Amino acid sequence: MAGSALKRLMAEYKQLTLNPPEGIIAGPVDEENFFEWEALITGPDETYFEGGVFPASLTFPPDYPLSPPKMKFTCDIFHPNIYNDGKVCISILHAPGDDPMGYESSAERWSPVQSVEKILLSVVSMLAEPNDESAANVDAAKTWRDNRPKFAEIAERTVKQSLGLL
Amino acid sequence: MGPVDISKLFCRRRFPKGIALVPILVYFPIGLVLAILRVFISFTAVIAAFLLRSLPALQRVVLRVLLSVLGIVVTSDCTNKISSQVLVTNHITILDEIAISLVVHCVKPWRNSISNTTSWLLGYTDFKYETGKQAFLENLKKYVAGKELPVLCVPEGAITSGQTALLKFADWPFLLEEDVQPIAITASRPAIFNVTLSTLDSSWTSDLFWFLFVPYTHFHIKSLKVVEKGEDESTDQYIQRVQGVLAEQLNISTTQYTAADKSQLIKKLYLEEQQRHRDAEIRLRRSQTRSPSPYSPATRSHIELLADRVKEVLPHVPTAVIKKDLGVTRDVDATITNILEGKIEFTPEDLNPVKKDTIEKVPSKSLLNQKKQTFSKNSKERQKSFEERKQEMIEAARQRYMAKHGMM
Repeated sequence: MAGSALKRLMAEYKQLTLNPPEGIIAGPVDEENFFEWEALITGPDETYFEGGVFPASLTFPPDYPLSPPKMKFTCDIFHPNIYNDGKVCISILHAPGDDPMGYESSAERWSPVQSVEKILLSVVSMLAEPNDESAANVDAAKTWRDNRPKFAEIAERTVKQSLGLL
Repeated sequence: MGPVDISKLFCRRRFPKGIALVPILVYFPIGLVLAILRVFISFTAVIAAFLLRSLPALQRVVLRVLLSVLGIVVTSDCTNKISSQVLVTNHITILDEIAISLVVHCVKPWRNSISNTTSWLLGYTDFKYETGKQAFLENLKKYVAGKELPVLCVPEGAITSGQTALLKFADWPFLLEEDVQPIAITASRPAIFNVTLSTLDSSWTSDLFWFLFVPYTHFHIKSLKVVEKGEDESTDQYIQRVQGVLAEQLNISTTQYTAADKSQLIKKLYLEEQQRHRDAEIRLRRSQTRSPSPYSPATRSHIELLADRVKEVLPHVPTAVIKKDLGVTRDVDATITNILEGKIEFTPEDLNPVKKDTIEKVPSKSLLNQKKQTFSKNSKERQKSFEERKQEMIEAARQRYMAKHGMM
């Protein structure tokens, strides 16, 4: 099935290149290995992450699209739904059975109908609206909830950092 | 209700099995010619009946002769004189009423099971059955009160084999007068040409054809004693008593099954038959699957397996489209490639629509002036373009940020 995975990834790459969603770029780091992708995600306007361009890696399993890819930000990003090591924790990256946090509605789970584009769009939504009920980064969730100015300050620094302005 | 199973009330087969079929097969060409000749004679009979209806006595004599030419022989035992205004009879063939009217002068209420023209030509009388039971009953009551001719009623409402049991009687014939006269009708065909009079689901045309085909059909009609309704008797008890009297004469039992139950039985048997056909088809398909030829329809289920694998990768592609292409390629990867490369046109299935709000949250203002992108067929060019786009995106975002925050 690796052949099918490759073909599907190629199709998605083509789709993302020809019709890229606003503020998103994604593709294989090196076409020698189609299962390792890099993505750039722009922080949505009028949010704490506005203007930042955040790099992330996507690692696809050999049985993609049956199993979801793993996504990890490769920059420092202080966000309730992103682990300290950059791993992204959103429902679309989990298959219906696999529910480490016990919080997700199965409607938004991974299934082969989802796509890289949908994952990246979900991540953009996540940047705009952190979900502090299912925190991957407890500190970030606490700050987000109790000390919004501090969260804004840290986010601002992250944005500058991502643009190489700090 | 007796312990009789409803299916026992009807004949399922038109022809006997085994050796008894031989004389019918031998006779077949003769019977066919006879039937064709008799079709023409039956037109004469219908016309004669129609022309002579003002002379009932003569009509009956002429019809009796014509019908015997058609193979319908009627004998009767009318030791019990017809003395009631309401006659009830059992129902074994499509011609019961006609046979009885040859020996008993009576009116036959028009039933909606026969076409209007046919029933009019055959001398049925219209009591507006189609306007509903109440109106029909009123019309009949008015007629019966006139004491002209007795009304011949068929309370079973559906044909049975006449061999096992009677269906439940409808109540309307018993609401007309305080008494009814049962008439027992039996029919037989020559033992060596024992074609069933009427099968469970036969049409009146096929029944009629076999009437004309066999040398003759002998009807015997026997009038029974008038049954009066008892003073303390409920209508139901009265009806059951009449049913019992008639059944005893015919030497069969009674049941509470109705004509509707017969329709249900026909439907049930039909569905069972369908199911058997389907099962047989599935078995056939399975056995064919094992055959090695890749182009036989047997590979159907194999294609289904392959289609499942394609569907796993491309869930939005309709299964029919996948199967069609697999029929040509017989290869999962080739079909996936064909679909991805747009060689096949299809309307995507919307299996799991993305929530609208997810998309709406995406920033609407353009962050980058993305040029119309191309997707090169060359891997190196693609990669170069990818790197360039990344740099452009970061650079553009940086410029925008600096402009916004007055850093320039």
